[in-house]
This record gives sequence, C-alpha cells and structure tokens, in this order.
Amino acid sequence: MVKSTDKLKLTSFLGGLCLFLSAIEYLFPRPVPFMRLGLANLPVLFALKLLPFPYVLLLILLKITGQGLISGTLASYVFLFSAAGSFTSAVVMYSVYRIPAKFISLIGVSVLGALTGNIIQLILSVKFIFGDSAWVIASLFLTIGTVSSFLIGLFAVRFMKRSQWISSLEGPL
Amino acid sequence: MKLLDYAALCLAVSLTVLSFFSAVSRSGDSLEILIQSAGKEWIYPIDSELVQVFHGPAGETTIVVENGSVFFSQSDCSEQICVQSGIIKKQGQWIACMPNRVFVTIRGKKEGELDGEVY
Repeated sequence: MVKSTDKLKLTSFLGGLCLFLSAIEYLFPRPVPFMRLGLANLPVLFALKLLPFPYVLLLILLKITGQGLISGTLASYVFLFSAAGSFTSAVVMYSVYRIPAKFISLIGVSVLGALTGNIIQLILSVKFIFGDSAWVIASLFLTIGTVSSFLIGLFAVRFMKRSQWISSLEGPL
Repeated sequence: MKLLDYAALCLAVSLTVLSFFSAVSRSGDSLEILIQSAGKEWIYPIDSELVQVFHGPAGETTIVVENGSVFFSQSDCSEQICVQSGIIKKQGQWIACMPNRVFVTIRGKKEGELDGEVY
C-alpha cells in the first residue's frame, strides 16, 4: 500500500507546478480575468493518472489559490468563478478519465474539461456579472479554450509516454 | 487520437462555430454601442460623443465614446485589463471590466427598431 504522505508530497509538488505555470500564463494578455490558456491544467491531467480523486480535488484547491495569489484576485468574487470552473472541469475530467483508455486519451479529457469549465464560467458571467449581451464573448472564449486544451492534452499524452519521472511514480503509487 | 477524442473535439469545435454565428447574427447597416452595468443597459448610436462614469463594486469606471469608437479611459479595478484593452470600433468587438461589472460591445442596429414610441 502507498503511504498517504507520498500522495500528499506529490499533490504539493503538482500544486507548485500549477503555481509556476499560472505565473507563466500571466504573461499572456487576456480580455477578462478568467479567460486563461489553461497551462495550469497540465499538472491536473497528470494527477488524474497518478492520484486518487480526493487528492485531485486538493490539487484543484492549490491551483486556484495559486492563480488567485498571482493575479491578485484571491479576495474578489473572480476567485469564485475560477473555483466553479476548475472544480466542474475536474469532476468532468475525472469521470471521463474512467472510460477505458482504448476509447479516449488525455486529449479528449483535456478538451471536455476545458469546455465544461468554460461554459460554466460563461453562464455565471452572463447571469451574474454582465447580462445577456455578454454572450458575444463566448466565441473568443471557446476558441481559445478548445485550441489550448487540445494542445495541452497532446503534450500531456506525449509527456506521459516518455517521462521517466512519470514511470518512476507509477510503480510505488 | 482515439474515437472519443474526435467526438470531444467535434463537440468543442461545433459549439465554438455556433457561438460565432450567434455573435454575428445581429447585423445591420448602422452600428450601436451597448453598455451594461449593474443590471442596466445603455444604447447609443456609434457616432455619439460622450463620457460616462459607471459605479460598480470596485469603484468608478469611465467610458469614452468618440469618433465612432469606444474605450475605457479609467477604472478603479485592480488588473486594469479593461483600460489596456484599448479602442474598439468594429461590430462584434467588446471590452469587459469584470471586477467592476461593466461590459461594452458594438453591434448592428436592427432595422426599424425604435428607441421608444409615444402615442
């Protein structure tokens, strides 16, 4: 059996990776605070394979806290948007990841995760922040989300195949 | 790429394309500016000249409409994404200030749509 401290260590390491990727992501201009490339989703994709679901949720908490700290939105309601999007997308990604690997890879998992997270945030922003006319932001939002989540999924698949670090973790965990 | 990867991509791409169509469906000869703030809407013809201040949770946001274009000249929000968005002048373009809940977009004016009627 794996010790839970090992899982915690891995979760905190992946959380640190999320923080680093959020900082990189912050370099790219964006039209609204929650419209991100989703680079910080990469450690979450790794976690789906390496960690049980409660630890994945803990990682999401670390991820959104890190993003909030870096963009300065931790104490505002923008943080709640980020939380709603990230947690829904994590639940969807985890459920989809349960489908046998011969039908779906991390590419599909990543694309579906981004799509649900984005749609939740769009609905929230139209209903609670701006108003019905704000649906015009959907086209840009979904385009960025689809392209970047596809590329991130593609990277995750390649990385998982070749990384010695990942294969060293798969044994003991 | 597996079978459901293609299905996921098709779903994402078709929703994206659909959102593009819904964004351009409201086209017209003349353009108008729609501003939303605090659950209210303001609509101005694109050739208006005005400076308007909106009050939101973060403080004040100032929007300037001039020379057929719109921009946020000042806002009390932390990230200043809206001010840095610059000037918009084409149909379908938009600027949003999420912390202060102000949204501006340029859209086509529907034919025969009146501001109000008096009998």
